[in-house]
Amino acid sequence: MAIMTQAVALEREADAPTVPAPVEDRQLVRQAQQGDLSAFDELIRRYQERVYATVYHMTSNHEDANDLTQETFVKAYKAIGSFKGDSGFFTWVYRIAVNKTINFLKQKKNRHNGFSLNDLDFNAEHDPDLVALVSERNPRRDMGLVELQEKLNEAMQKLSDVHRLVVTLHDVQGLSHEEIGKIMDCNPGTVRSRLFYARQQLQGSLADYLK
Amino acid sequence: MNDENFDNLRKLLALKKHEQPPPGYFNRLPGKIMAHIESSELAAESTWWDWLVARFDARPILACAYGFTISGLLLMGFRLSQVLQAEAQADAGAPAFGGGWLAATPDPINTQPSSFVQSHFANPAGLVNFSSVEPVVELTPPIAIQRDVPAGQLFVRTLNGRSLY
Repeated sequence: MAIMTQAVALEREADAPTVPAPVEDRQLVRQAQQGDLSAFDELIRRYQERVYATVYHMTSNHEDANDLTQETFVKAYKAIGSFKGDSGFFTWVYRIAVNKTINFLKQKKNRHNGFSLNDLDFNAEHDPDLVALVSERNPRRDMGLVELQEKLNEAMQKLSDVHRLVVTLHDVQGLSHEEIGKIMDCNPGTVRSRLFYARQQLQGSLADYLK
Repeated sequence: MNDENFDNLRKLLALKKHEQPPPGYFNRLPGKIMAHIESSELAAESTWWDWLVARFDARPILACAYGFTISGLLLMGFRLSQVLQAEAQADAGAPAFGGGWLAATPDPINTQPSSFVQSHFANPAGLVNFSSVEPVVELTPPIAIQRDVPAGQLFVRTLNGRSLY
């Protein structure tokens, strides 16, 4: 019986269209280190959305996020020769993005750019959790998702840079404590305590919208 | 540090996942980044002259400012040279090279070299009787002298005109 199942599985594998296996990051990095721009282009395509999202949620400004994302990848390309592969390319490029963003935010503190928020996508209106938050728990029933988005971004901007980063990486991007620890160069325990503190702060700022 | 206490907050934070950049943004972004990389590589390879031209192309006002500054410096230099020359000429009864700091410069027309220098240049190697067209060594003596010279003997004329056998 087992042999029969195995044979059927092999037959199915043979019938399946051959899809080229995705090239590993490590190989693309090696090619990029030898000056292969197309390999680096592929790495950009793989991680641009996550890098952009992190920077965007840190700055709450699309233009800043656009500039910083570009600068992050340009710097990554220039420094790729020094990338030893001790961590994944993803962690390494994230670290560049995070450092760039935190430096940018330190410089920007005296200038006030204001928000430049991206539009909510179509799915937001159909997210059951969000619909419930807006229609049932919100004391001001007339408040729409866009207003809630603004309040949320205001509350996020009240956090310190490191606390905002932890919330962004964990609660928005879904990274584990260990991954965040590698990116922020601290241990997972520190990540947990920062996350707890940041959530408390956010809950305090958004108390009216979370009853 | 219980996650359950923050359930509603986490639901609200999920709203941030729905904030998306304009449609097609991520299709264009890699091209922009690659253009940045290529331009920065080109900039690193180009010469200082290319860099300067590129800067002037980008900022015509800067180019004009540079032009005016250089022209101004040239005019100032020209004017300064005229003033100095006039000062030198106006100096107490002296001719063109008579006064001021220019006086220290020797007049090439009136200055005579020392007697040693004159004699040296008149006859640098002390070869007064030497002619460059007359050979120093002759293997066969002239016919007029050959009579007095024993056969097979070499005839040599020295630089001062004496004959040696």
